Amino acid sequence: MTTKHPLPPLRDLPAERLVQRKEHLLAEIARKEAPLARSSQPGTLRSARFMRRRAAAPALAAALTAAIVTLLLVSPWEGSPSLTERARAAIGSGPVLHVVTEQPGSLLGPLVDIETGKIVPQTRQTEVWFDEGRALKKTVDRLDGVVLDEVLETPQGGFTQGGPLITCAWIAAHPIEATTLRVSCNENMENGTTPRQIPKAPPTLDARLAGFVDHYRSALDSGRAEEIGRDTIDGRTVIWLRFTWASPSAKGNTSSPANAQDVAVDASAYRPVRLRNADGSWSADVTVAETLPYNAFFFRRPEQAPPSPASGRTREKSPIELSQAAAVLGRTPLWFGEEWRGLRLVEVTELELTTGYGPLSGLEPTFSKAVRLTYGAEGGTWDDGPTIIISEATRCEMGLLWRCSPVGPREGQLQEHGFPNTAVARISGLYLTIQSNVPGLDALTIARALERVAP
Amino acid sequence: MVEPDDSTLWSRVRTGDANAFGLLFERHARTIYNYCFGRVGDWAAAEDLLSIVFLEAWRRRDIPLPAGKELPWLLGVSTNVVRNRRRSERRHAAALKRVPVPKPEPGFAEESEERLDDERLMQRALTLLARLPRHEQDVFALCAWFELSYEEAAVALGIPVGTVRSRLARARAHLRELDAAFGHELDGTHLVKEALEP
Repeated sequence: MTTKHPLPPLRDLPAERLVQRKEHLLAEIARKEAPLARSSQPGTLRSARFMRRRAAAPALAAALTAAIVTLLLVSPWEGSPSLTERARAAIGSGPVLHVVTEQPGSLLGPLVDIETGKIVPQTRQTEVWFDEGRALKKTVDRLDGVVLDEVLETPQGGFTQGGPLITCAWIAAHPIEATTLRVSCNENMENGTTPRQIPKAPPTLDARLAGFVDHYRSALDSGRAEEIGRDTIDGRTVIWLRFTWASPSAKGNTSSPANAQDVAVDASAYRPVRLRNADGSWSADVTVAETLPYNAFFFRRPEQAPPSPASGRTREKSPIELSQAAAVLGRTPLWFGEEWRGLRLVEVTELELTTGYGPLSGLEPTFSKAVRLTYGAEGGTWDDGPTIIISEATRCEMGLLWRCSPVGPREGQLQEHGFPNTAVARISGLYLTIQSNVPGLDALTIARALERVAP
Repeated sequence: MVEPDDSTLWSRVRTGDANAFGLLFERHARTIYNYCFGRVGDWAAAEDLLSIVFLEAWRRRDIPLPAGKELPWLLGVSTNVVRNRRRSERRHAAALKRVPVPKPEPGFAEESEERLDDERLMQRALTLLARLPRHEQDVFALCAWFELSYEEAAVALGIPVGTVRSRLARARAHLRELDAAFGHELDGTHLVKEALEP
């Protein structure tokens, strides 16, 4: 993307205003993410609308409160200091918090097996080491065990698998290196030569994990952790503990709502096994939650990863005959036939794809070819009526909106895209990008209808 | 030595990492700020729209994005925010009220006359552009003014590349038909005219 255009010159917000806007944005995010202290039954998810209605129904709320109080009064573990003490002991008291959470997730949309139509489960894992006293944080993000991202944040700056974490603060402190890297926060791309400091926030945690990290231990210490019930998770009995804390913005304002999260602790080992916002808006399985003595090993810099594709571009060449598509691809293409569901094959186009690796990788761009089949009304366009566009390549291509990750679709799988009307799939050794605006026709149906062009 | 790319950051944002989102903001605030200005012709409004765009982006962070298309997507979010400006401002009114009052910025004040000129020219250009169908305005602004590639504009608007091309061609043709006399620097319509040729 270039910045040269006929508009008035690009203008910057003054640095302080930019920082102010960023802080405002992050404060608003924290405000939105803060799990409000609304009661919900253990193991039950409730919609926000439901929660609002319930908040507006004092009689029901009072009844629920009474029920919880009654439950606590008759519970054998009510008031038992041993439970909170044991939960506290299970976490430990070391300076370094180590938490691993897991939740279902994927890079794009759900992964679907084309033959069965079933969703292929994927697990997103986040592992965090956090030492607040030393302002150190290491985060490793994995999908199905494959490391997607590894970031170390320190008072001296951030580090990733690709090198330093470059922010405006880093650029200000490393003007010469930043100029070499061709990055700048200034309109004129000038970084100067004198290092300077601009505000840099210390590392903080995901707002949802932060509540757990910052407040769970202290809630156990102070007895503010409230037992709200028992449940069964993956076959084991758990005790739900609710802990609340004041919103950071609520200092001096007692009318602001408190935040609340629930932690399910194993009823025998007292270790956390699940964490959720009290309003049911988020939950994750906790596979590890412990505190450890400081060890520099936890905060070692991420190992440098080999350069990966950073960009992809597509250039359409002239329309070709279908019979030429196999030669362009080096493989038999897929199609629906001359006509499918009232849509005709109106165009076959050769595509030239360019994959870039970033200016500092030392790698030259690579080029490849693909074909695009367009089905629709003769002479019509996407704006005029139902259209299906199938782009086909023999390898993963960022230019065709592929993510090119080792955890992407495998042969016989399809993945909905983040963008409307778009999906990616691997069929018969081809990497396909499917775009359709046909009402009521899903990508899975389209993928299943594709067949090899007869020789 | 390279920075984590946008897709890495977005991947972290999807897990709820506000810091990663802050980095994306730092990286793209200027582009979004200027794009919003290019669509509304008002720097102060563009500043609020910048906040709204990122609040909206956070709200929609569950959306998986193809690698390297994060900025085009943000521009798409910006396009929607600008298109539904009143609704967007209403939705985020409470958040906007919490924006701290800006401190006086000497350099900013010196620039204020230039900024007023920008606004005058831009608003006239937008008056001309407003004579196009909305979807043609969007493509024209993204491709002709902000020089997004067809692919990037396709991502921003969620339409096929070919449709971007045809909408842009139609937008240019319509603008040429509208008024043969436009194109004067004094009235700002040169901003449209200069962008007419591919």
